[in-house]
Amino acid sequence: MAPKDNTVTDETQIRDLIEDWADALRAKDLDRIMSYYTPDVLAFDAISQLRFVGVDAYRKHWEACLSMCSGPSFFEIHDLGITARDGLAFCHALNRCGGTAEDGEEKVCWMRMTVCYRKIDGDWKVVHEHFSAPFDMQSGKALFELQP
Amino acid sequence: MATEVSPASNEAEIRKLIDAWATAFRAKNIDGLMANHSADIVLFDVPTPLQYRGADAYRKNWEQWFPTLDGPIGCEIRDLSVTASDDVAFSHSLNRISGKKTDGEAFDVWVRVTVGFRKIGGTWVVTHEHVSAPFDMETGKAACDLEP
Repeated sequence: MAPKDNTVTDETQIRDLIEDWADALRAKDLDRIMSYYTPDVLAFDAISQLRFVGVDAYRKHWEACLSMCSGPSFFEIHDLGITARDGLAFCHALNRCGGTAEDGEEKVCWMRMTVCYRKIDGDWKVVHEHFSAPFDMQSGKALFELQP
Repeated sequence: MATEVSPASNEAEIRKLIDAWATAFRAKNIDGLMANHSADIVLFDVPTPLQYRGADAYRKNWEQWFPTLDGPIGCEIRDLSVTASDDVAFSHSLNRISGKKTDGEAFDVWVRVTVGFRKIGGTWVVTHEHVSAPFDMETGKAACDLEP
């Protein structure tokens, strides 16, 4: 029964890690956000580029993203599904994020998130992640206001 | 705590599965596309909605899209990365999708693809797929013309 117990532990570890990472994001703490990634992380983000290769490129992108939302903001993780075993894991979730604009209007968006992990020297690290919003195929516009 | 990942045979099996999927995709063969997919697959696709849950929803997605296309679909898989243990695997790649719609309009786009796998009863199955295009912050539209 040992493998089953390990699976539970692995899933719990990933769940805790995601919560910690989300806290770092809410705190807009760039150093803490970046501490979850491997140096050779490959990321597909929702905006700007097809991909970001390596933690330095990804850090620059995170920095730009964080500077876009200066006011109070929120970030929630919904429908989290985790698969973890044998030192590998992946998860998917729907993220509800947003903030209050200068005119007081609250902006809310839903995004899809997939994160892939490897356990390296006993610690789970993010080797790949993928964020996106779906598109309306008629207009080609990204739809952030869709709700699950 | 060195974790043994990417044993060659597991990685080879995943690559074979991705090849089979691409062959089915080019031929618009829905049964072929579904051959290795879990009944409870969670799909995040380029068009709306935010998510598809379950094989029936996954099938409906293809049933809606394929009749709008004329002839076979082009699918080139670039920079495929596969990470596999004995029970869990994930992959990511940039896929170039091209073809012609029934109204004669041609399309040729790059999308980002992340796939999550689990070995169940000795067979690899796809439990999660995330396919997307990034969006352009200026226009709010899908940036499908980006090239790697």
